[in-house]
Amino acid sequence: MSKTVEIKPTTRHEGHTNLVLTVDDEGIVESGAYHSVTPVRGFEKFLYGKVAEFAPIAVSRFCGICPTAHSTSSVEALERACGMEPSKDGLILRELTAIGNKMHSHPLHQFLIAPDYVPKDEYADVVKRIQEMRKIGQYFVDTIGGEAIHPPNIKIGGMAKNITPEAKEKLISRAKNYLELAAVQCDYMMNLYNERKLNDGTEIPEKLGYHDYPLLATSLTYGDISKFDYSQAVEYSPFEHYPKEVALQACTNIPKYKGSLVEVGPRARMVTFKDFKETKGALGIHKARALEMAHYAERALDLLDELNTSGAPFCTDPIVGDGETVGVGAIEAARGHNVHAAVVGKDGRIVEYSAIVATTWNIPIIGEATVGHHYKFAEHVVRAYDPCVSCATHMIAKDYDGNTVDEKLFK
Amino acid sequence: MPEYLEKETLILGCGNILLADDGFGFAVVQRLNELKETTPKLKSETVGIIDAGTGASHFILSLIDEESKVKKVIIADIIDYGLKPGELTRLYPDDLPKIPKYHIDAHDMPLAGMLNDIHNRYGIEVVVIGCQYKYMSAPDVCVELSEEVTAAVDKAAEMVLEELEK
Repeated sequence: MSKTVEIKPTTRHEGHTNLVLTVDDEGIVESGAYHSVTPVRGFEKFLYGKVAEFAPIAVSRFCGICPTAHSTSSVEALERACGMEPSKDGLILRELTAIGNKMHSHPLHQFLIAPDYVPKDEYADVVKRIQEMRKIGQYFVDTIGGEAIHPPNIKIGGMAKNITPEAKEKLISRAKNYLELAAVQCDYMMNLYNERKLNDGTEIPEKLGYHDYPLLATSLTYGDISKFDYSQAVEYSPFEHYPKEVALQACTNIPKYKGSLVEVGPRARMVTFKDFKETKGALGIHKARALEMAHYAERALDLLDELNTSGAPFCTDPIVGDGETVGVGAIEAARGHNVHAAVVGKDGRIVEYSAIVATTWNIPIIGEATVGHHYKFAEHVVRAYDPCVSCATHMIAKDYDGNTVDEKLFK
Repeated sequence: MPEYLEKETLILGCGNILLADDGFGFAVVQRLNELKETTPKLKSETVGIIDAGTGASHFILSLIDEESKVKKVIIADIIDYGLKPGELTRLYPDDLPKIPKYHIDAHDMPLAGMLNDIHNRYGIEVVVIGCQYKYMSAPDVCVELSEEVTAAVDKAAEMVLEELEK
């Protein structure tokens, strides 16, 4: 007899999600649905009628984790909607900021999964290294983006400011430092993943997380719109995908590309651009993520070498559209293919705006990828995708009963 | 280490401008940036003013350790303490909710727990300039502060300046 196992909320990732699994008598998952319970869709409507410049500022508030990725996708979409050609050095600076965001994000994810894999006596050293790497990532975002969280320099047409030659030298030395740390961290994590064991000794099933869906990535480090056909991306209602009782709670649409669900993120990038061999399985995603960190630092060094610190950071074309052209920005965020699409009117105001954020692509796959193994492994599949489901609000609510935060924050 | 961890004082405007009164922290940061021209203290190399949005715990507080130079953190944020909408109050670590452990998820790392942590571990002075909200629109989007909270922004900025004097 099948029974239902619900894990809610799932933990140690970003956002609010549930897993609803049907399992057999042995606890093996027969069907799995993973869904967001954080409202995100329909979010973009508030941008209609606003001046285009407001969009990158506003969309960076979709989420407390990936503001840089959203601002970047947004300005790319708006530039294309307005037929603008951003400045060369602006694009270099923008890619460097986006890389900084990922240089911070990937180690942070390894911190979140550390309790699953890292032996207790090695924990402190690993966390220390992760912190060093996060600081360097944030050094990039802060120095080039102009601020730590919502980088104000990311603007339509390029970046608001170039950096000084001194800052460039410092960034080069930080990137080299990151490369060394990433090499150590990557080796360390790869050894753990290759053992295929949790740190309590539990063996991870070899085929955990296997699925047959294709992978989608447009670039290893930034985003290449020529590799993405927006007209082939269609969003379906959750009712067309989940059983009704799950769909009622689900808060994201289900996007398909060329008629299929697609996996996005580190593995999709590494398979597409670096011939990475582990095309399936949860651990393969962890490994791809670990390997990517060095590529970011290498790319950052190339970009810094190319950067002319006295070059114009942005172009001064007018920010106006034709009210019809759909501009699409597709950026490889830490968690994958992050798409924004916009139409700008002749008055410079937004006519249409839509976003398919990275994790939205992965959400329907995550549930299915839990099938065939004991439900105790289901959360490990979830965590492999590093899902980030925008977006909670943070405020301090009084603990009326003495020791808990107001529950409305977590619902 | 990012430059903001080399500041002695960090002023963090917390909250989401998409969720009505939750945009209070951002409004205070904007006000402080306007005041920079006439207030040399705000332009000091030792002071950092950051629009922290919903990322303070991720990008700032969780990176603070024994290496960072931060001695004081001033937070501007909305609160729900059953006060009159727009009423301002100063909160210190002892006034914040006592959260035993971060057992939720990384997205929801409660600010209060982290503020307590950096205070207890690294002796960082923490003060929250809290404003009682009237309307918090989540999950709906509303890019506007209520009148009461708007009226509190200038006073809140003054309270931040007073904190810089201390």
